[in-house]
Amino acid sequence: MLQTYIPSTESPWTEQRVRYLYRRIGFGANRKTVQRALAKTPSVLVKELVAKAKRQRSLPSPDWEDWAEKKYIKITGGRNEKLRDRHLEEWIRDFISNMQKRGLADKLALFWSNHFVTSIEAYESPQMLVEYHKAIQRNALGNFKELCRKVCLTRAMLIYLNNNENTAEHPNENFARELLELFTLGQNQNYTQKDIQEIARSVSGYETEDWEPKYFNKENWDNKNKTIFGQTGNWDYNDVIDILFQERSKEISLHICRKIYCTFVNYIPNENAIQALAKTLLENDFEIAPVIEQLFTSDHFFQENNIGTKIKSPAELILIFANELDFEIEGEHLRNTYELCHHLGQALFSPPDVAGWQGQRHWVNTDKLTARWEGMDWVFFDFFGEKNMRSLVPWVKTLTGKQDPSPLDICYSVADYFLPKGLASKDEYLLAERHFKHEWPEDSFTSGWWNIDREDTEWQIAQLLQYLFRLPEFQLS
Amino acid sequence: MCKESDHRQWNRRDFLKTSGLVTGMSLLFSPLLSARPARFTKTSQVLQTTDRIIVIIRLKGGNDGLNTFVPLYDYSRYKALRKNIGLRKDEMVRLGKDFGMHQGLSPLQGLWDKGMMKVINGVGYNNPDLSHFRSKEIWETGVESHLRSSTGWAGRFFDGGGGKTSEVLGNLRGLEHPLIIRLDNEADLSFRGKDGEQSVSLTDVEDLYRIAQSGRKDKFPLADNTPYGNELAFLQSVSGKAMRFSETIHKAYKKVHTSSAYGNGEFAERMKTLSRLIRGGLGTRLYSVAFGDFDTHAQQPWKHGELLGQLGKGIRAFYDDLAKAGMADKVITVTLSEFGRRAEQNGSNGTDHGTAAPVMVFGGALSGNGFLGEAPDLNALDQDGNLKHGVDFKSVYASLLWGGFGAGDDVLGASVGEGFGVLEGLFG
Repeated sequence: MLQTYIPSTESPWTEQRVRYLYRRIGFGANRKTVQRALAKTPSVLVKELVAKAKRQRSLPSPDWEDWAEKKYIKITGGRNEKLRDRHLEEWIRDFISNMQKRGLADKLALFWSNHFVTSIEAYESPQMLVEYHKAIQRNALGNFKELCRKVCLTRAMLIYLNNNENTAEHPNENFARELLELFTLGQNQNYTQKDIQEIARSVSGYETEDWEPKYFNKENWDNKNKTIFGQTGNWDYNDVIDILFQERSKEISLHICRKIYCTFVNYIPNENAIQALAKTLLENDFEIAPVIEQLFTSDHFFQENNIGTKIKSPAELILIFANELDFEIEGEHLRNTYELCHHLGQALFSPPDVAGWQGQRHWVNTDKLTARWEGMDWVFFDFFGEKNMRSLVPWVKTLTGKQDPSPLDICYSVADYFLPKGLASKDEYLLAERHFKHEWPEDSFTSGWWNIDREDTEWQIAQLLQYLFRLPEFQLS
Repeated sequence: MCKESDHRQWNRRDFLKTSGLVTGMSLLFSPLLSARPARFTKTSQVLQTTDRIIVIIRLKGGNDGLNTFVPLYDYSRYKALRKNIGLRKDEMVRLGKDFGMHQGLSPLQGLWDKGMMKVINGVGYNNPDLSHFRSKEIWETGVESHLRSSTGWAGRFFDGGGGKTSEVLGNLRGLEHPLIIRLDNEADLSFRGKDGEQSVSLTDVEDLYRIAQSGRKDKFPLADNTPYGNELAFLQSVSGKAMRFSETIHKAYKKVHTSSAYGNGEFAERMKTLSRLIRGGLGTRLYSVAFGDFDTHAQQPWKHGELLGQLGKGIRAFYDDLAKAGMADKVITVTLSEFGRRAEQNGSNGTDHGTAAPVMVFGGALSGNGFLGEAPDLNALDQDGNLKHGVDFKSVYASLLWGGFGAGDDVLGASVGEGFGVLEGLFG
């Protein structure tokens, strides 16, 4: 199962498939990148992308990375929220900018932060946010066992799941439960309530105080034998991770690969594909990169049946468009991107609960869908900018491959470019053309007067784009 | 957290062991039900619940209950705990003999006098968490504080009883208006059901109308039965629904205007919108409005006064409008907050996070005015200096669902779990 993708007539290596790949493996790509990619074989391309992402580790350290909380306390008492906001905004800007530019490395980091969930609302500290992200970014394409080990011991996680309140005398099982139920095995997959209790006892003793570095308080650690998955010993946190991965490796590999599959390939799980990925994860001792490589070089991934099936997350909606229209989101628009994602239901750094964003249809209901339409209008007119609109004319010429494209040519090219499977029928393209021509007298077209170089034609392209934003097809990748 | 109080028979481990039991639990923590078994079996025969509406006003940040309703029966102790921020007698409006209401809420006295206001004292939950994030989550998910849930108390109610909820509320499918409307864009787990978010966020009716109407009006092509086609079909249906909802909402909104004095500010605007939607006959039965920030760690007297002023004015004007339309007994409004605040003030003329707090309930459906539940005991604070709760908030939810929608035990069980019965003496 999961043969390597070899382009064929049923499954040709076209711009459509390359764009699809970039939308899933990252946040889309501009035309130049897509055309360069076409010159390579799919396998070579994916291997290069994975290798590049592996080299791209965590973001550079902000200068406030090691600040103590007292540096935020005002002389008059109370916290300097303005300063905290400024630091958070700095990090948000870098975070979003890198998501747009780097693709896979950050897409995977976002995926893991939706798996090992924490919320900044719980821990509040910018320093803890950086610590948490770095732990994720450094291991996102590394080893899953180590990713788990490191991330679960960050202060953000200790606070979010109350493991910093877990003592021998007063155990708190919150973290232990989520470790098994969400992070590794999946609900009710071969563990007992007793396992949870014993794990809770084993991982006790970690404490945080305000925003200070965490410490391990041996006095509060349950210093007696515990039995986890049938193994008895005086286990500590590291032992728990080791035993868990040793005794339940099969369940873990399936749980993780199922999530990877449903996020990156199709919301409907394919058991054969998932098993093949799980096998790869196990054979590689939980190294993540081989799994990602196998997934994105597979024949299965590139099948027609999987293309266009994913409902884009808010981050994907915005960043894919920016990359495909080839403009960089910068300055205050980076913060605007964060705000828009929040408005559309994806508050970065604070998923609504420990299970993370459910994604797919959960992104869309009546108010969120209309908010997407309005949001994309904002991205286009403000982030891309009205001042850049005239550049759409040469852009459209390159896209259609014609110096003198007809309105229908333009609608075909632009719709096919942004939508995963274009439009359903010729009638649909004609409908798009109606929106492109909107308010322009019909005889300006029939007489041959109109051409793309006429004044204000960029507004027609804008109208077409706004029409496409509102189509169901635009929400899909 | 283990409580050291020697009055508590239950520590956390005991509670975990017995949390499946029906009898006994609510007797200890909801003294209102003293003579009654925990499972409440009153049916809806007395209530006309076919068109009642529930409005939830969420006071963000933790409203200070002790300065909202000052315990006059222990005024000297109160003043000792709050040397600077305690209210003077001339800063309160007397409600009954035991309590003085913060003067910011004085517009509500009119509702009190008409028998349209009740206060439930000491609402909280076992093993309280003092973090906004966690306590808010506990109130919204409506489960015991040691548990997590990805669904909310209201979401579970609408999920079912499945058919049972429909019996209660009529046909919920194919409605031309949203099931639940939130007049803000805040995250709130209360309205999450098994299939996800059930509420629709509405911040501006005109904006929604404009943007929804900009969507595609032509019929959609038929999507085929493939994974891609199925997602397309789903998105098409949401698109159509968005357009229909925006039309229905806009129509109701334009039907009437407001005539009472709501005051200024975001809360006033939201209550005005709410008033127009309800009196315009929208049909939605559950609304939520978030208002805040009540997290008064410092300079409380001024901040709290400001907020209560807006709250009092807005609720009073809302009910004045409803009364003019003959709808005051159809709408039940409740104010909730994730926790109350510390009994003793802090060093910044404010208060820190607390526990139990009063819940206000409004509407003509109430059985007159009054205070329910045990009055706060300033001499029986816990080891953190916080008030002990007497009523579990899940009983408040149960009461709302019963009083507002005539929900029976089976649906209440799905919503808030076993053992949280409807409170006596709230509704007529």
